[in-house]
Amino acid sequence: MANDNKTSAKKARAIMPATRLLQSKVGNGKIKPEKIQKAENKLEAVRGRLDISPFADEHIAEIKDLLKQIKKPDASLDITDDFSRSIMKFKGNIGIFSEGPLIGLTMIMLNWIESIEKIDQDVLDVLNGYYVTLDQIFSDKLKDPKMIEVIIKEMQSACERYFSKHPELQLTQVIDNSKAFYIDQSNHSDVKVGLDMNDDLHDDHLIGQDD
Amino acid sequence: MPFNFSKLSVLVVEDTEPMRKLIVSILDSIDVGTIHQAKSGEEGFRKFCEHNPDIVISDWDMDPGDGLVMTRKIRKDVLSPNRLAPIIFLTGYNAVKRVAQARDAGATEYIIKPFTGSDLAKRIAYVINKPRDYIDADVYFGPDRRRRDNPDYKGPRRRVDDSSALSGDDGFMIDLGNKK
Repeated sequence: MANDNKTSAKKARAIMPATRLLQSKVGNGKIKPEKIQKAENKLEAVRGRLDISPFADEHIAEIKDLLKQIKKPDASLDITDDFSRSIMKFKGNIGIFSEGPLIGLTMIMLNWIESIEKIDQDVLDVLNGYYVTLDQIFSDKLKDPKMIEVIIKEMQSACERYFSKHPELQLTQVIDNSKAFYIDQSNHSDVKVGLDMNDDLHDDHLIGQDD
Repeated sequence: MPFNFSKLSVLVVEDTEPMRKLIVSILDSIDVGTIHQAKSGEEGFRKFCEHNPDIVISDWDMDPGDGLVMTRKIRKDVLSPNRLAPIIFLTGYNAVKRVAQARDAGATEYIIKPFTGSDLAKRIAYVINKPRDYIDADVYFGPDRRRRDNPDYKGPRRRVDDSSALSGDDGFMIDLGNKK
């Protein structure tokens, strides 16, 4: 009986059918390719032209502060969420406004930190390595692009070594922008993320000339 | 009727000014008629109530009030002028667990930064072309989180109280074919 009550409490009270009101206001169909191109041009116009050092300075300062906190004996795993948030924000900004290998580093670090389940010395070492790398790059101590690439690859290797050392962990499952927003169930221990055949974002469905 | 975005109104909620300006300029380039802006979830909800835009594009991490908080308010607050407004998350998070968080708050779509102009334009077209059913449950109000419609499925009904099948935390159907 108790189980029945629990189940009914979870059930949907109502399903409101999809409304076509927005379509009646703004139409539907495909966006013209020339408009897509204009949108792309807006992005290209800013890429590499904005000084990203304010983003970097803020991020490096945050990482430095978080490193102090995570080294405290009573640090909880929740602090990795703060690292995630800061790296995520930096990744989003430099990925749009800059070119170069740094975006790769932030993607590696974000996926790694989102997978961490406990704080140990290895975690501290990787985070410290990340901080030192960024600090060197943005304080202009590290200028050679080849050397920057080498260090970024080394950071990637450090993350991979961490997972080799902790085989019980798995790199967090990630998605990209080619996927529709679709996850099968709330318990993401067994999720499927992907395109539905009916719900795809392929260009031929959304971009083109409407007759 | 082909798209006429000049009649479309969009609210952009983003705390990083250059990013906000860029999103606005992309919307402008596809001829979106009215663009409102906010710097936080709190301001976003205020502007949402004030202007009742057709679509919301929101960052995740903002203060005061992040994108999740704002989304829940748009979906559930009595002051919300349109609980069914499509909300597109635009964030650097790309882990499935984050997408699930946004989905469970009531997000309609999700774009990962860095994104392209095409990603943004396509998502706008998508939420207009494919409006979703909305679910009103004790634990959730928002777009139907079931996105697949498999006409080939011949199995049993999948609600917990329909059978002994497993269920998601809201009692909606899940894909048993995915269960190990």
